[in-house]
Amino acid sequence: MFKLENYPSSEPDERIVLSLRRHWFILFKSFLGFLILCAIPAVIFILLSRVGLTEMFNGPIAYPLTVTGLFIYYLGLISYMYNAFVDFYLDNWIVTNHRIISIEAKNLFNRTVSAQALYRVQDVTAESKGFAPTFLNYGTIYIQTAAEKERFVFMDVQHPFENARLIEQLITADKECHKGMQ
Amino acid sequence: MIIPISVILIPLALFLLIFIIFALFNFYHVFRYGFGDLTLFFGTFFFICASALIFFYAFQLLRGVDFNYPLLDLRSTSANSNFFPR
Repeated sequence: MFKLENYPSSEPDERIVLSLRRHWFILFKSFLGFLILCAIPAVIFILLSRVGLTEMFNGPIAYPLTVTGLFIYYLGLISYMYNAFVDFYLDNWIVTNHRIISIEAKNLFNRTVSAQALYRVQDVTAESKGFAPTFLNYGTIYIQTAAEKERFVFMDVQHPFENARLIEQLITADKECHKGMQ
Repeated sequence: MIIPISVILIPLALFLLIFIIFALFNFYHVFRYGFGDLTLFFGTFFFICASALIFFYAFQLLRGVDFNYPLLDLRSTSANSNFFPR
């Protein structure tokens, strides 16, 4: 769980306003794929048993080959699903009253944590494209900054337009605060 | 030369090694970045249980297999007897 006090250089009055993850439908799609792939060997076995071809798996060579193949197949599937689940849960975008923090896994061996001050943000764009995103109200928020890392992308988050509006309000408030300081 | 059926255990061992490395990296990420999250804990628990179940079931099925049974017997193939008649 992300705790702001564990994050370096957090300001004393800083508080988390938004904590976003991908929409549950993204994980559901992976889970659906996982279930379909799990069912494929069973479906093949049922189809072969209807034409009486299951005997070919009982041979002294075919049997261990089939069991080993299925063992590898199911372990691979469970590994894929767990990886998708961990990716889904650990990818997190946090908006505080001062900063945007992005925690993303590019792959299994590459996890990136980046942050940018809100007053440096130039533009916020929300997008919801396709049938499922429109129907389930999820989409992508693009945050353009003036810094070296030009764009923060909040991928497939829920309520993209409402959240983008809230981020814009926070940016305006932070810019006002920084104007007052100068 | 007889190649026994136990040779299929070599790719299996390689796959298990990759599987364990992937699982350990995921555990590391879960404990490093998601410690205290109950959903992640249950997800990890489910993954360990499902993997243990697959391991247990596969080993039960493979228990009676004779891994010394020849997968390939290169001594007496018809190709050999045609090319190298006695």
